[in-house]
Amino acid sequence: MIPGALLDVLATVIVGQRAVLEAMVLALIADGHVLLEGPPGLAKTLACKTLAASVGGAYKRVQFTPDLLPSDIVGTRVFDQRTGDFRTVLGPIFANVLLADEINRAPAKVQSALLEGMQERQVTIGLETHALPDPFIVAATMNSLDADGTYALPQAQTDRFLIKVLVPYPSAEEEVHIAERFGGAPMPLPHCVISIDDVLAWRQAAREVFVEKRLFAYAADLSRATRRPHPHIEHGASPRATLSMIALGRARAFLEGRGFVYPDDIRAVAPAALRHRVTLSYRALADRANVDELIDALLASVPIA
Amino acid sequence: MPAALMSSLIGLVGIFGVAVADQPEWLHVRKFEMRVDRAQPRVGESFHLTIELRTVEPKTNCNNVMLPDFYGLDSLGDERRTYTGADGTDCTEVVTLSPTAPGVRTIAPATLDAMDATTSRPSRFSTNSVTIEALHAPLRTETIVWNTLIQMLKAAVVAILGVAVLIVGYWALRRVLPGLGAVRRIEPREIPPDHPGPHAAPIDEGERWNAVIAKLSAQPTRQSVLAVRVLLRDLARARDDEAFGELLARVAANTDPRILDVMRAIERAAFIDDEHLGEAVRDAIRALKQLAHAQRALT
Repeated sequence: MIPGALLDVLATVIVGQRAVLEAMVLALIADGHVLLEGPPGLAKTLACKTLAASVGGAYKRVQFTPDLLPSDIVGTRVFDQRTGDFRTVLGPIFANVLLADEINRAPAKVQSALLEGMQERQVTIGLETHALPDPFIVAATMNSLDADGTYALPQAQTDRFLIKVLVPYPSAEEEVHIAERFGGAPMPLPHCVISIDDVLAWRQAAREVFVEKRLFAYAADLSRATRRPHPHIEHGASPRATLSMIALGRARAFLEGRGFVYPDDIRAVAPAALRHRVTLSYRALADRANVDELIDALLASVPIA
Repeated sequence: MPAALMSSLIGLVGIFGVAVADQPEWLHVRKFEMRVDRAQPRVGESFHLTIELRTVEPKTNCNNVMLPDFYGLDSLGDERRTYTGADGTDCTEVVTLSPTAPGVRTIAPATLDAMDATTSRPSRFSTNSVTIEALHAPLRTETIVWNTLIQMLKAAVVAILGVAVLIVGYWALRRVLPGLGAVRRIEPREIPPDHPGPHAAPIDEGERWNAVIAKLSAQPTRQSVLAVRVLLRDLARARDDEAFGELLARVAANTDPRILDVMRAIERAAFIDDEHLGEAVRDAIRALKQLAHAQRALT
């Protein structure tokens, strides 16, 4: 199956939100984690569940709550009375697709429990280090930060998400379609449309997509543009943002059946790769500055490659 | 009865005690005077009022000195020094004051109630009074700057009015004397360009594309392709940050589809991998030839 066909399968469940679905597939191809942000009720969780169900392999879901503990995610050591010894119980992070639902409802220490797994694809429990299955993708959803009872994600955590996708409200036409599709019996999810081997093959192919050297410089310039002194920016994007743009650019080219990356690919994925990696200043919050408008302005200041 | 007697005794002791406390000191006052360190302080500035008392007695209660009312002055603090020696006591009280408004202020004398040891009578000793003249507050820097700006503004207004009067006068004179100030008009002369600009259009559009084809055919490198890409973006008046997709969407409606084909082919050749570069350049040349042919047919 080609990646474009997976998009079509996802679209049979999710009405509209084509950009959101495309971003999720890009993250899947680029071997990264995806963070979906939007108000409640916009099918963020359903989109993640549909992607997880479409990909064969283990799927786990963790509902993040304020009383969640790190061991609830990574696992813990428990005393086995029969053997008289401690044994390791692996947590739900040991899955191919982990849905971290409403990730910002848990405090930072729980979110930080995901850091090692997301970056190094391994988890340390006690003295033992366990490798996570391959592929491993965290699909996290979060409500907007101004919603009650939420915590801001630590910068180190957000930086580990390859892409952050903003989920918009559907159009009037789409909303009618949603009512028609989900107003009756529960919609069955597509099951194992692609295999783990398909995903691994896609990733390998995407890694081989050609990137002309000017585009590396272009991606670096886009990241560096966020680090220029600006009254609304506290911290700019890290070099990980540059790597993310290159990886996503390759994935986008592969999704469109090309063996090389255009500058447009980099430009198209830049907002999703940068928006969660730019820390706004206090003045920006006071001025109610919008991070996407800010990034658009910064991107416009960098000549296209 | 013993209780009543006791309370009467306590009452007598209390009255006696008060009488002893209220008894003025016996003093031989040698000096009791008042002075200021500045006679003309400015409003807001501080100055010192010094009251000196010298007595023969070795232990003098300087607390009995009554300070005058400092009307129109802010009292910023006081300091008292007492020196007791073999020849008596020197009390010096220094009060720091500051005028609150300009004008002349007379500070009334300080007084001291004591038993005059020379006459054995209760007496009220007084110092001299002191008169100061509080001057206006000094001008602040902002005020000086503001005044300077106002002065400059006034000068500018006067200058503008002067120039306006001159112009009106000149215009009136021109009305009266039409020949006044006539200037001989110099006809503009056309200057031939030394050399054509970098993007000056050739006479024939087909020729332009033939030149590009020749260059690409001779040097089918990425560098040549990128040079053509720059030329195409210049012709399309692309913004520096304008992505290719945005550019195509903008110009598609009013551009020859063959030019769009060339743009797509050049964009592909500019970023394709080295292995397929030759093939992409050939595709671009093919698209350019079709364009050149069509434009030559038009001309």
